[in-house]
Amino acid sequence: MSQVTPMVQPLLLQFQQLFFLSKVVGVLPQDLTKFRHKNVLEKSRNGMIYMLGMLALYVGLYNLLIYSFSEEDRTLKATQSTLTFVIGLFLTYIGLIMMATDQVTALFNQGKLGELYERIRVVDERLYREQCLVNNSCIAKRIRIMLVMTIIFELFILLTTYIELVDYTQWLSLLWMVSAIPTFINTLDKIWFAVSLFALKERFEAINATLEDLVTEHEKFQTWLTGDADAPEPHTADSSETQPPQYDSNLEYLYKELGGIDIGSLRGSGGKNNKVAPIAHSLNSFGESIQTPRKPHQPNPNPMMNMAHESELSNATKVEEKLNNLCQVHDEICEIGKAMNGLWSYPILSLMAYGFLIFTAQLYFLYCATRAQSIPSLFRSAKNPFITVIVLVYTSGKCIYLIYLSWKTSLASKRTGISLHKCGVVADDNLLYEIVNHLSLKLLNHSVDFSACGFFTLDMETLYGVSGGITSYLIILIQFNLAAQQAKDAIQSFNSFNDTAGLVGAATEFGNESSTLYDLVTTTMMTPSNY
Amino acid sequence: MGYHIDRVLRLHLRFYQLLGLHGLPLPGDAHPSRKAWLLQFWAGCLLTGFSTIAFVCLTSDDDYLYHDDAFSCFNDGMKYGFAEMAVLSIYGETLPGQRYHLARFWQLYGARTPPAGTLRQQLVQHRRYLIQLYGLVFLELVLLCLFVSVQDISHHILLFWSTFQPFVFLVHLRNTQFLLHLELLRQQLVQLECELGLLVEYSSFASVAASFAGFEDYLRRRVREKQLMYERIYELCISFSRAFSYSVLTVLLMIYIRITVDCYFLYYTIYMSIDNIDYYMLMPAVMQIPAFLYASQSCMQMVPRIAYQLHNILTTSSALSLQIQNFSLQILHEPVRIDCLGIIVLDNHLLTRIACAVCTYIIFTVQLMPKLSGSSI
Amino acid sequence: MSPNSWVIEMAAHKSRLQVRRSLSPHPHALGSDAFVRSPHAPVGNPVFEDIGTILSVLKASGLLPIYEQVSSFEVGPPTRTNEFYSFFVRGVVHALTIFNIYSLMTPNGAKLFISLRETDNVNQWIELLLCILTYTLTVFVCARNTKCIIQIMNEILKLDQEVLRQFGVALSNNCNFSIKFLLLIAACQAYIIFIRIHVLDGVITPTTYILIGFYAIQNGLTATYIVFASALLRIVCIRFQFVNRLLNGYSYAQLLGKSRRQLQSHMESFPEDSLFIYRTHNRLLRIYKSINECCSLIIVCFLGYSFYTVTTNWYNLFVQITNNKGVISSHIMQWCLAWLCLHTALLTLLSRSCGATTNEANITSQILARVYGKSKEFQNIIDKFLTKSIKQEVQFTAYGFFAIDNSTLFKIFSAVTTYLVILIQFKQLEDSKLEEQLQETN
Repeated sequence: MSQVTPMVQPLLLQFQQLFFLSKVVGVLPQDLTKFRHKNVLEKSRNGMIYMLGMLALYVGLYNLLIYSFSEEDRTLKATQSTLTFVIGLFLTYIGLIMMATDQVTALFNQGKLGELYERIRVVDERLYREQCLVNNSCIAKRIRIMLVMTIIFELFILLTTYIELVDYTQWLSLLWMVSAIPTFINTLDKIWFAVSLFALKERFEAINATLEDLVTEHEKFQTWLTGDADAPEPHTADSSETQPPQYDSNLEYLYKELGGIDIGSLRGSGGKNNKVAPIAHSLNSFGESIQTPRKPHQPNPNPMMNMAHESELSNATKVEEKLNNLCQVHDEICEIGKAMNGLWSYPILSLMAYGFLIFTAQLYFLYCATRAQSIPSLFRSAKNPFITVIVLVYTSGKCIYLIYLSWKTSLASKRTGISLHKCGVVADDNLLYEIVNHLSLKLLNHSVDFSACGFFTLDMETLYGVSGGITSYLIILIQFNLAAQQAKDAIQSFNSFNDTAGLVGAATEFGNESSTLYDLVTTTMMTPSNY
Repeated sequence: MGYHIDRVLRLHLRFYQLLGLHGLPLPGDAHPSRKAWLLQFWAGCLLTGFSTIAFVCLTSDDDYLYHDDAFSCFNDGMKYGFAEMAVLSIYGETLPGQRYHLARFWQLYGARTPPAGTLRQQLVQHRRYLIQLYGLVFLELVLLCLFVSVQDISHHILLFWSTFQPFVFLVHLRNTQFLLHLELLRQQLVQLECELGLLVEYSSFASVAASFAGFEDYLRRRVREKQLMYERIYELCISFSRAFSYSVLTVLLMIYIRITVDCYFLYYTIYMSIDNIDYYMLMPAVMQIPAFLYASQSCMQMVPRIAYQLHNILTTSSALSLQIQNFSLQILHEPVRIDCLGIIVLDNHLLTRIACAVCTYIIFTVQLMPKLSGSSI
Repeated sequence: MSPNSWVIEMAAHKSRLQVRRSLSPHPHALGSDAFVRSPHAPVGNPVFEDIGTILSVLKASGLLPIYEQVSSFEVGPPTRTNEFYSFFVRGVVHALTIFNIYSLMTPNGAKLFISLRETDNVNQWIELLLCILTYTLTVFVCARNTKCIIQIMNEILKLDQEVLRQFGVALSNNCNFSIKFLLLIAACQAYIIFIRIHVLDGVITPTTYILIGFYAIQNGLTATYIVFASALLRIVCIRFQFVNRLLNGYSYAQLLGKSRRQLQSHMESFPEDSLFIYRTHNRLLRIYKSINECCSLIIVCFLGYSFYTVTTNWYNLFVQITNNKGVISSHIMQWCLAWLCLHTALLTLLSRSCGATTNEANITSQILARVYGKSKEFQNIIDKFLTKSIKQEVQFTAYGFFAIDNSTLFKIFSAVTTYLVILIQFKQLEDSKLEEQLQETN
């Protein structure tokens, strides 16, 4: 079906500013002019060269930064334990590794990214044909908010650290500005992922909303069919009538029912009374209610009804087509989700590794800084607790938002099955039950699980594991830091107070209460000499 | 507000309203909108009060935190911090945006259950919840009295407990509020299971003894009714977890942190033979988590039993089997699963995990103990 | 969905009947790895040609039975003499093991260890014992599972035969990686022997040579067995892939842009094919399970051994690098690197092939969910399978302890990191205590 329906706006239309920014900074290599005119992402050789140039520039600058600030680390190497030093060295480069992963993956994926958005456009068209429209306008707003947040966070961290903690009398200190580049580029890249994921979630929700609309329409239709005057509350009478007694009454009920069965059979043949759903709620039960502007349905050539109420669900053969199509679109969106996950799997893995390491390291260095130990120069932001909090919020916010969003998306995709069952139960038609059973089996087998290279899945349960990991590592690190510090103190005190050293050593060895108290006294006495 | 609730529930909801935990007007209130506004205002006042206490405690130089030892000071600060987080999320959920889900819960609940007749029946119906609520509150009060009478109170202990105990009370009462909702959910599930059990008996009775024309159709309609009922129960579960999404997490977290920290100090005080028995106050907190987890576990356990009952129904016609198949697929799609924000399923397995984690951290910190006291500044 | 994937173009039913005799119209091997060889392999061509080298190594070492080839699709039990040979080799192996354990106890064995520190020697001891244990276990399990292995091979071959008869494609095994790994193992082991002998000083008795040589052979053969297991998994994986591709031909994406007539003819063969697919899938699952039963004990043991080796070698490497005395022993570094390289490669291979196969097995129901069945009949066919596979997650387990897939690799490496951090911290503490003592004595 190659007919182009111009009514569907391509999703990429909303990405204008983001694309421009990422093009300038060197996150994406695609062609700018093509994007401007046709809203497509196409491969571009010049973009690739530009991007590689930017990458090389960043790497060079960053290394220069590390080199110029490594003066302070020389003393660190001597004083600190080797582990802290090695970890510090590794941590300084992980930002760079993350950025390089993002950019290199973007280079490799430059063709596929365009295809992905093309597939989303095709899905939109198919959804449009099923009269379920997706509202893209809030996406542009979302992008803008994310960009502003990113810039605020980056600038805040950069400037406060620069003003507070960097010696800005030297002109080389201007290089500090480079330290923000990797995280900024990474965030830009992740905004692309997050927003596209959000768009997928919206599509799932549009499908769900369509199905829910079918249900509510059918309920209205049925209340209209029964023609009750007290239409708003059909359930009170109905439920009290069909309500079985309390569960503690047992077989008496059975005999009563079997005795008076003619009432039941009469009810079944005569009135359609108990087919009314007991609750006539007009509220949409979704958390985020999205407006899906729905077009009026095609007039149903049913002489029985006037224009007031009609329901598609009453016509099983007709609705079958629609449900089938929706199910297929659902599958296609799931596939797009998987493809998207595939495109970003390495960047996400590196981001998660980065998040975990930086979170742990920042807290550990904060501890070190409060104990007046020296820390790697690139982590000087840990010297100030307030800046540390901001850095932690920024880093963890990035990771958690992605996890949260992918969790929400898979929830939305699972919700489709629930809505489908609602349709089936409300309509109460054997033909429709068959269709619903078949499609529901299929939906059970559609899966959108987001994972980082298959190593771990991106859902909220991962957070539990990660937070546990961070706590354990922190405690282990701090514990050993304390022990090492004590050993060092002991050596120092040996040099300065020759006589107390043995006692302190003994105190650390045994740690029974009297000597621990003594130890406490001596260390508090001696601590000023450390500063 | 077209729903009815019985007197026992009404009384307890009033109680929660008084604490600012239940931000909805009850059915039958005059001026519901004004009442809602008033409740919200009251919640705001309470929130400000609690936040001020927490802020003062964290910043003041007075002996709210134990200042002699850096590690203890950090732990006390952590307790206040998490308590403040819990309070923030609790009162944050009485705001209008979040309140909608709670309203939906009560509407769904009230719409389909006829209130039990006499007071006695009501008490029997809600006995689990009532026992848990009054047992826990009573235990807490007794311990508090005991503590005040036995312990000779120093300046720090006075300041700390007079500021921290309100937080503890509030959080524990919030936990009992969860218990109430879960208990209602469980009642619904049990009822559904019993009704399905009745259907199973009908079908077996009809297959051996007399069947009659239209019986299959009658059975099928009954199954469909149960399907609608299950759907509503699922919605109840969803609106429960939406209404209390963040506070379940923060309340559990606060209690957990408190248990971990206090367990360590329990060990510490006994080991150092310090004259301080405030760790007995930990007892109610230790009871809270299992109570909650047990309630949610008993909800989740019902689902397999419902499925089991469903498949016990003897079928003869294809229409009925189609209906049953549809129902079982529906159960597969709509598992009653209670988790806090999807982070972890709240069942008894979590209890063992928590116990393991507490043990691990205690071992870590006990190892730290001599070193910490050595290097504290 | 993926544009590059090989799609079986389903010819109409009648033409397919002809195809079974003349095999030309099938556009197989379009850049695909799955269907490479010509369908009519001359009879007498050895089965499992791809993994022939590895098979012969394992046969020679008595780990696999020296089976007889009955036809090109069947293998028979080994002959009397061959059986006796395997038996003999195993006996020799056990005798050597006992000899080795004995000679390790004598002071002669102590010379083997490149002594760094007391703890490192203990580490090497444990490593050696673990290696011996793993290999002995491998030999025992293999001896017990002789029939099982032949049965698995026969099942796979029967499946191939059926595929060849029905679709006229011969499935290749694409196991070239096995030879590369064999070379890698041999190279690493040879290098390690070389370093070991190079480092030893003093007179080297023949016993020491035997000890070192046998140790290397044990390591190498265990590793080879792991490669063999991975190769078997790969073979199963390729069969699963074939089934999935066959099924993919009926999915929505293939139907887009076809007219109604085409659609009808396209779907005509679906019932027949689906029957074949379900049957094959079931059989593959059975094969997969029996492979799991055969190998899992060995794999558990190997994983434990590998985990231990990787941890200790990383630790040694770290100790060497951060050695404050400034003397970095290049021998130990090379030695550690060789070990790490070998074990990391094997772990990756194993977890990847398990993960890939599990993935392919589980994806079948997802693909089937994508098949569009217009008529009742088709829908029923689809429903049957989907219902069956709802709660049936296939997994390759390590003797029931845990599932092996990509996340296992992740877990192993995170565990290694944790242990490393703790070990390194302890070492630093030890060092600083040592310094303290030194200063005190001064």
